[in-house]
Amino acid sequence: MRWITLLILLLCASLIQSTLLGRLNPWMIRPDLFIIFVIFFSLKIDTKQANLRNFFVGITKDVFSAGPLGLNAFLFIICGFFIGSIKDRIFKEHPFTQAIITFIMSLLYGIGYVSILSLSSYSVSITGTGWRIIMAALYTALIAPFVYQLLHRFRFSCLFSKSEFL
Amino acid sequence: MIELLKKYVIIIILAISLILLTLPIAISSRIKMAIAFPLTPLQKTTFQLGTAINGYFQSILSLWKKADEYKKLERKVFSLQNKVVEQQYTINKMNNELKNLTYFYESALGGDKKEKPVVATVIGYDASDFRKSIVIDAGSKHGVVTDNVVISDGALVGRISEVGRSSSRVQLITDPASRVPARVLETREQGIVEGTSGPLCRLKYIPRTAQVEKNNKVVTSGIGDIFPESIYIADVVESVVKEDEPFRHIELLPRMNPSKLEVVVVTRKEAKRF
Repeated sequence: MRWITLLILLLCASLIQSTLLGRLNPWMIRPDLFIIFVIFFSLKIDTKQANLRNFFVGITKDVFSAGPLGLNAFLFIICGFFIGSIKDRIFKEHPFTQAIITFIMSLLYGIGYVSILSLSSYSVSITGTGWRIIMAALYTALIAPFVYQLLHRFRFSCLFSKSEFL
Repeated sequence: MIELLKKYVIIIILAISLILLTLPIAISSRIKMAIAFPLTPLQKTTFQLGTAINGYFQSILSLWKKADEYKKLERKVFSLQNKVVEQQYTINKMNNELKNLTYFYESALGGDKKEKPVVATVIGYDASDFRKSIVIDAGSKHGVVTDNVVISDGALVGRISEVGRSSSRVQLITDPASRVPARVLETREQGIVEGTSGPLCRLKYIPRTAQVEKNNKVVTSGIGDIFPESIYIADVVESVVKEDEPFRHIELLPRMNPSKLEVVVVTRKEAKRF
């Protein structure tokens, strides 16, 4: 495993997500780089290895968020598991497929996150934040194919060893 | 053993996530701040870079304004400059009085320098879209502790939720976990301001018979140990009575704009009063 590269990647994503994207947010909505990584790992490698990476992606997002530690890790593992079960049935190389998968998973992740928050007595509900969930998923899906291309060109061998790559 | 671990890796990491979720907030906050602490200088630099890029694009956009608007502004600036000169005399006079009072407070009454507010810069936002918080470059070494109140230009921003050595996380009033005891300035009705993870907040527990109108101002009520009274929170943008509900549905527009926050003030313990 290329854990050092993963660590650097997560570090860059955390800084961009918490600083630069905070400034480039029309209608106060930002794309979620972390879910893009989760989908990328889940589509490209074995489910177990992908979920191990998804766990660390989730923990990183938890550290840079006000939410409880472990929530994003839990949700990202579930997402990775779901993608792992369908990836053999889709043409995952096409940008349109990547965008659709990203949109659906971002939507499900948003619904899951808000549901857990509302069950924990936070003053947020799916009906109240539905529009924001959809717009955030759309924004993430729009930039996802570009990020996937970048990750592909970013020395693929830096991220995975040959035995992990499908 | 290793083969067993590989076989059940998903179950193991799911279990770890659930265990982390059940940790007390104080412990998980410490873990998060301990991991995030080394990244604070990088975060600060990246944030400043983002601010500079944003400023550059804003200045390009402003070139598209019409010429007559500039002329009007020029005339207004000229008139304001004249007024500034008039006011300067009054400002200087009040400044001298303030200096005398401060000297009196510090020497005669023993004002505690440790209770002075801390000025901090915003260096990051929450990574999640559904939680509203900011990271500032003031931490425990500056005397910041959990539940310190954060304000900006006299408006309430939030409270400190996590403290690291040199940075802290501020839970904004728009965060869904935020609850601020508040009062409507005009009618004195008391309620709780709750965040909704969107740009607006809600004022809850105001009876349906209360006369709360649009544009009324909402301030902190001082109830509870955290928020001192009379800090401006928000303006009422909608106040409706829904059928079969005992309380009014009131929506508020916070006075502070999170996307424009750059410098905030962390108020520490209440100063000694005599």
